[in-house]
Order: sequence, then C-alpha cells, then structure tokens
Amino acid sequence: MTARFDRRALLGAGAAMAATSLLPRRARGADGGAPPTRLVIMFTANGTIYNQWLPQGTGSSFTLSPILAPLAPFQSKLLVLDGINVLSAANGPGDDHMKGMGHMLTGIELLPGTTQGGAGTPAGFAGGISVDQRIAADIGGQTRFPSLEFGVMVQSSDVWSRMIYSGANQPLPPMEDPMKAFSRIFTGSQLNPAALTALLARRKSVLDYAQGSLASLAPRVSSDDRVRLQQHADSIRQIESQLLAQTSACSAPTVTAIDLTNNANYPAVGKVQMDILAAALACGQTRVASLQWSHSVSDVPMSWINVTSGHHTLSHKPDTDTVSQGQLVQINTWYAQQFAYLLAKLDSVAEGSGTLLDNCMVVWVNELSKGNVHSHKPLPVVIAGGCGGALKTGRVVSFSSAQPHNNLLVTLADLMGTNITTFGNPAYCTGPLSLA
Amino acid sequence: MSVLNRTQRPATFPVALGTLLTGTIFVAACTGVVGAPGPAGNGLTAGSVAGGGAAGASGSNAGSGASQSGAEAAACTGQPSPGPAPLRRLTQSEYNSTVRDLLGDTTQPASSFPPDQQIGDFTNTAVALTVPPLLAQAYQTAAEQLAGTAVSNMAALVACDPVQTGEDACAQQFVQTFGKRAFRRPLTADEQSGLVALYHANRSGADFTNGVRSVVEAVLQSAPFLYRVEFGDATGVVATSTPPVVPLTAYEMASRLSYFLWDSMPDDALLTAADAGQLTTADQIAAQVGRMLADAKAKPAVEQFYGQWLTLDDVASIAKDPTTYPEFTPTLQAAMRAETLAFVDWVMWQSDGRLSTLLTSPTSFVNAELAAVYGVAGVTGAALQQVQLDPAQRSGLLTQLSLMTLLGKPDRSSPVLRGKFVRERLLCQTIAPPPANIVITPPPIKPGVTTREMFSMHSQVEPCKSCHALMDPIGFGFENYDGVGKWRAVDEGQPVDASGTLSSTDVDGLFDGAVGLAAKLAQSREVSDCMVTEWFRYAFGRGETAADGCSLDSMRRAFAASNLDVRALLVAVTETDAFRYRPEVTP
Repeated sequence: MTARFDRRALLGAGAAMAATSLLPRRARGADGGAPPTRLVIMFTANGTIYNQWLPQGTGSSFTLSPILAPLAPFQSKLLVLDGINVLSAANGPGDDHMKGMGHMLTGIELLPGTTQGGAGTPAGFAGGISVDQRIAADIGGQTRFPSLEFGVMVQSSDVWSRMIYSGANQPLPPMEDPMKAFSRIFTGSQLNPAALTALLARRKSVLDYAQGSLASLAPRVSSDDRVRLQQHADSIRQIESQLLAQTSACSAPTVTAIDLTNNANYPAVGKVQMDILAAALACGQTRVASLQWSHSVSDVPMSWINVTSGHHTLSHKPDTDTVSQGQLVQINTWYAQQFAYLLAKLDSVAEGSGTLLDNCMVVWVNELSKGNVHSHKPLPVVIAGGCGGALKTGRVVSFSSAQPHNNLLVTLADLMGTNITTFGNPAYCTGPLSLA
Repeated sequence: MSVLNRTQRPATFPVALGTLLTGTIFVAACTGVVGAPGPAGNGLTAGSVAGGGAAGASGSNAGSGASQSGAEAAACTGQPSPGPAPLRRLTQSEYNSTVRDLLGDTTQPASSFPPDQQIGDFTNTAVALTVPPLLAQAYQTAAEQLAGTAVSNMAALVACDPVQTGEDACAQQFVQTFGKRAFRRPLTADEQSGLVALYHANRSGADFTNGVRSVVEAVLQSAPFLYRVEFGDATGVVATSTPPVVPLTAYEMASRLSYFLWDSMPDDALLTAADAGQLTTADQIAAQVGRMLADAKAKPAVEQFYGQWLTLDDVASIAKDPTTYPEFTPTLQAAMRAETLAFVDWVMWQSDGRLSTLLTSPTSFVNAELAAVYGVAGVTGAALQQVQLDPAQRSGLLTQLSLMTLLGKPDRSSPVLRGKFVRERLLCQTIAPPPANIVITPPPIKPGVTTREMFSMHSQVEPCKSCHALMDPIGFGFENYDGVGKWRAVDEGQPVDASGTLSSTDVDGLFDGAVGLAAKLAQSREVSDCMVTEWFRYAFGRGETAADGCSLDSMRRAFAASNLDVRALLVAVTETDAFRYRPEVTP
C-alpha cells in the first residue's frame, strides 16, 4: 500500500492558513535573531577500516580518504577527529560491542545486569544519561519535541541496540517506522476547532488522572520501582506539552509505507528517515535528533552493493583477508554516502545567512574503532556543520595525545549551550576539546 | 579454560556431575552454602557480576536479580524466602491479551508499541520495562482507540441503562465494575471518586458517552492498569524472614496466576475466588492452576515463553542474502516461526510435555513451503500439517528451520552462534571472556575451505581457542544445516563432517551430528536444570538471586519427579516461595 499525504494535512491542528511554504524556508530564532543551533547524532556499527577512513594530511590541508570521499561536497564543513579514545570502555560490565554502544554517548559504564554478551560480565543498560538528552534537558523545552530519535531497521531492543538514554537504565527507543514518525511529527488533527478543543480538554483531564495515579503509587513502592514510575510521569509530561503545542505550518516530505522486515528496504527506510529528520529540524520541531542505522553487531548484508556477507561477519575477518577488507571499505563508504545525503538535505535549507547545516552539528559515530579486534580507540568521528559558527570546520584534528571520548561529549554539550564542565563518569573526563 | 555455570545444583546429584567444571563448587541448595564461580584468573569473579546482594541497589539493573553463579545461596530455612519482586509493567503481549479480555478488543494495539526493552534472555524483565515518551504516547493513542471502539457499543460496555438507572448512578456503577476488572481488584474510595469526578468533568458540556469514554481512556493509562502492583497482605507478615516477607493478597495472587498461565488479566472466576479470599492456601491455588492449564488461554501464554526463549520473533526480520538463499521469503519466514510454535504446542498439550520430546522428536508441522526445504513430499497448501521428519536428519527444536536460520549467518551456517546458543540457552553456561588486553588477529582464511575448516582454526589457535573451544565443537554438529536450516551433505564440494564434542558438561563426549547432540542434551541434568532456571527467569521477570535457592530447588525436584514434564514445572512455579510471597515493600 502507498499512502501519500496531502501537504495541507501537514498544517498544524487548527491552523487555517494555506499551505504555501516550501522547502527551503527560512527559520529564524524566536526573536528574529540568529537561528538556533541543532545537534544530530548518526550511528553506524562495527568499526571502520581506519587507514581507509582517516584523511591524508592534517589541519585544513587534507585529502579525503576512500571511505569519506562521498563527503567531498562538504569538505569545508567537516571536522574529522583523529585520536578519540573511548577510555571508559576498558571498564564495567558487558562485551565490547555492548560497552561501545552504551558508552558511546553516555561516557559511563553499563549497569550490572543479566544480558550476557560474547565475552565480559553480564550487563544491563547504560549507567547514565546520553549527551544529546543532557542537552535536550536544557533546551528541549524550546521546541515541540525535546528530541527525536530515528532508527533504521534497529529491530531489537537490548543493550546492543540502544544508544540514547534519558538516564541510567532509561534507554529511549528510536522511531523505526517512518509512517509513524511522520504522523507523530507532521500530521495535524483533521478535527474542526470545536471538536479539537473538546478532545484536548478530555486529553488533559485523562492525562491528569494518569499522572495522579502514578503520583499516588510512587511513594508506596521501592526506590528502584519509583525511578521507573518517575520516568513514566516525565514521559506523560512530555506528551502533554506536545499535544498542547501546535505544529506550525511547515513542509514535510512524502512518506510511503515500507516493509520494515525486508532487508532490501534498508536504504529506502534510511533515506525517508533522513528526510523526516531534516524536515523536523527545518520546521523547528526539535533541536536534538539522532539516527541509528541498525544496531551494534549489525549483520546487515548489503546486497545492493553486492556484498552478500553480513556486516558483522565481515568485520571479524583478519586484516590479511583483502576481499573482506575491501567489502568493509565498501560498506563504510556506503554509509558515508548516506551521511552525505543527510548533509545535503540540511544544506539545502536556507537559514539565517547560511544554511540549516551551518547551524547544525552533525556527529557520525561508531561503537568500535576496528571490528576484528573490538577496539575502542581511535574512535572514528566526523562532525559536519558549523554549529552556528562555533565550530572551525574544514579540518582534520589530530590529537597529539589520545583524548577520552568524555571530552568530546562535554564539548558537544558546551557547543549546544549546556554549561557543564564534565560529562559521564568524571574519572574519564579531563575537559572540553578545542574545536573552535 | 573454564565455563561459569549459571545454574547451581544440589549436591545430592550423582557424583559424576560434580566433575563437570574445574574450580566450580557445587553446593547443597538447602544448606546455605554459596558456590564460588570459576577460578581466579578466568576473568570472572563473583564480585564482577553483582549478584543478588545487589538487588534493590538504587539505579542498578542488578535489581533485576543479576544473578550468576554464586549468587544463589541455598536457603530452605523454613522461613519463606521469595527473592525480590520488582514492579512489573504489562508487556506487549500482556497488554494485548488484557484488553482482549477486558474490552473484547482483538486489535492487538500493543503490537505497534515500541518494543519491550530487553535485559537478559527474555523480553519481560521487569527492570527493563520502562515507559519512555514514545511508549506513553502509544498508550495514549491505544487508549483513545480502544475507548472509541468500546463506547461505540455502549450496551456491551455499560451494564446499566443511564436513562433508567439515571446517569450519575449508572456512571458510579460502571466505574466500580469496569475499574475492578481493569485494576484486577476493587477500587479504593479515592480511585472511585477520582474516576467519577473525571466522568463528570467530561460529561459536562458533552454527553454520557463522552464521560464514560474519558473513564476508559484514563483507566487504560493509569498505573494500576499498566503495572501489576503488589503490596502483599500485611497481616500475614513473616517478620522473622530477612527481609520481612508478606504473602500475596488473594487479588494479587489472582493476577500472578493469570499473567503467568494466561498472559492476561484474571477472569471472573479468579476475581470471584479472590473476593471470597479463596486464593490463599496451597490447595486453593492448585485448584485454580489445574483449571487454568486446561483452558485454551494457557496455550498462547506458554508460547510466549518459547517464543522469547528461542527468539522466534526475530525470524521475521532476520536478513539473508537473496542470492545464497533464494527460497528465503517472507512467507517462509512466517511459516518457520509458526512451525516451531505448533511443535511446542503439540509437545505441551497433545504429546507428553517432556523436555526430551522437545529436544528429540522428529514430529513437526509443515506447509508446502516448509516441506520443500525439508524435502518432505506430499504436503500442499499454506496450512501446517503434522509430519514425521527424517529422524536421521531432524531431532526436536534445535534442528528446525527457525532455529537454524536464527543461528545462521546471512550467507552461511554458523558453528559459533549454534554452539553459543547451546551453551547459553540450553546449558545456562556463560563463556568466560578472553584475557584482557589481547589483540585478536584471526588467522587468514583461504577461499574454498569448508565452514568447518575455517572455524577449526578458531579452536586450534590461541587466544581464539580459549573461548571457541567451548562453542565451535558443539556448533560443528550442526554443519549439516545451511544458513536457513536446509539439510546438506556437502559443503564447498566436500562431504560434511558433522561430528562434534561436548566438553565442560555432564554429558561430555563425542557425538555425531545434531541428532546425536540432541540425544545427549536430553540426558543432561544440566540441561534440565537450565530449563528450570529459564522458566524461573521468565515467570518472575528477573534473574535468580541469592534468596531464590529454595524456590529453584523445589522446581528442580518437581521437574525431576515428573520425568521432566514441563507442565509439572509450570505447576511447581506456582508453589514456590517466590510465587507465594514477596518482600515487604519498604519505600
């Protein structure tokens, strides 16, 4: 089945103006000042082939590597970081993929638990908040959604498959169905104003009752249970503010239903998720977003580039297996193409004196450095966009001494205006990086 | 190299079993001794796994009872010892079944919720079942849809007639009766008045239906509906237990029974029994268990266990390379899952319920598409039908297409995944990690070598050998099955060698193929103990802890006494301390 949405359906609840806006449109800050900065995280799995990933040269004089070649149109808007070390991953429960995924954005050890990995002690979920959610805690109130999480055929819900956390043991699932994501973000109500007012009134009273039921139960349960009830209450608070906010008139992509279990649709699902993500940013629906391709240990076979073995399977092959190494370069290059697609989408939206991309900080990360040894250093990190001028882009930054990735995380927070001096487990954080 | 055993067993077992694992001390389940896990230097220590002692630790997933070897102290002291009882949120399938039984709505709205998040082997682990914003929103959407459908047939939803009875009185009655079924216990006075106030607020300016609708929406999003709330019966507190424990109230027991055996809310008979206080003695509970196991609702509930244990839902989304396996179609994937569930249903409800039957029976259920892969002639159509597979090729769950597909790579078999699965899910063993700080550089492979030859290098070369020697020699036994489970006698032009070896188990030794492996596993006390452990984890939504020794021991004894009839194991779950009691809540 194919569903096409009339753009008029995208008008916010009750909005009556004609749907005249088209991408690109100009967004301005609330007071007409500088456009807001945005953070986007993109994840791909299983490490990279570092010597085919790292550009040649340093500073502003560099040649893109084979894997990063698809980013050539944006070379002046890139920061490639060489020398980031996920120091925390040497510690705590979990196998290397679990730790890589769970530490990646939290900078803290996994909780002990009962999930047994390929090695290591059994683990639960991450032990703290992820940096995007820490940022959203500060700025999320400015937009209809504090953050939006997108996934591309993630298909599982364990510690290998979760990177975004609103707190310890509070993984946030990504939206995996583009139709649902679209509907959540862009579809306004079709009700007439009176019916809509009645619906909103009933919703408010109903959610108030639900909140009350959580509030009366919370003091009577154990402290562990109370943490979960508190998160539930926070979640209701969040949807309360979403339903009361009106979606501004704004242009959205075309979304068609896709079979989310068919591996061959992986590229198509990714593309439409990026379309929705970019449009959500352009429309001011959120300032914090993420896109998770599959999950750590992803074994997606990329038949569309003639790679028949699974990605994780290939990532275990030895360095001397040149066929597999070549295929891993192919896979990572394909992901670079997807990253480039996202950047192009963002760069096509004029905003302020530049583009939406210029006001974004788009960070591409991985749970590993090198797949066949499960290493966590050096972590391949590419940042794109200027973050409203805060980033000095068009550079390869090679750190003379390896930097704990907590330093990167606190830097991202600072660049987004979150005034903190440390992030994650402070034992691994020695201070922000200078990327300006 | 050693393995860490995740299932403790009593010392009363045959002495031969005591030889299984170097350095692992087995203890009597009822003497209070704790077994130490593997020897120092194997990378695992008792402290590293946050055993049951950590239960209740704030902010720790160990509250789930992260329990590994050594955590489960044996303690049949005469005082009930139920272990932790974290608050349990309805799972997706519990939600679907509950709204089916509460409202007659079979739309299964929870199937489109974000997936239940997973810690451990099962997707019903209590501490993992949080409510992120995406789920809160899904609850709202579902509640509005369910309520909208429900009020479209007011006569079925509301027993009284608002005109004859009067709207206010009828609303009062509706709140009381609907609320009791939804909350699985009578409403408190505050709950009753709160919901009636909600009704009035939404009746005002609209109509009776709008008021009722708001009540249904609110109930479906409220804590007593979405969580299985338990406080226990304080009048029965056993203060001499540490911590103090309380028996469950009759209503709480009704919910425990119904969600365990039916995956759904209590029926009228259970609630009526609870009204009369008749769910407190062992006999009263046993009578209900017998009735419930005979009910059709037990079938999908038990399927939940097997589906989660075997990760059957993943068959629908697993990716295979279409050029290697052109037969791997969405309809075949669906049929694979259906086959295994049909087989489990047959074992549990038509055959003898025994673990050995699950592991060794060549009976299965196939349609035309499955039959083509199995090489069974004469089966047509999409419906499954019972067949006898070739007993030289197929033996129980492990050799079915679903498992072999799940434990296969996109374009090949996987001795590693298959061996690991047997170690972890059938033997409840944990493979110790490689030594820290080693650089693993797998040996180069040559094109044209068989899968077995390729992986043989694993088990010959250090450091790979240390772990892979525990997985691959088991997995090699499955080399007759390709990445989607199809039988093969030849791999890469060479005859398949499916001989394998079991080590560090109570059934050590050589075996020939998966059929030989299954026969050995069916004789293993470690496997039957593991079945007990896995059912425990599923039944209680948590790992076993130090406090659960007595509950687990009683389950093992009952299982053994029944000749390993899984149905007897289900009954035994309901007789444990863990099922009958809970720790007193100390906020």
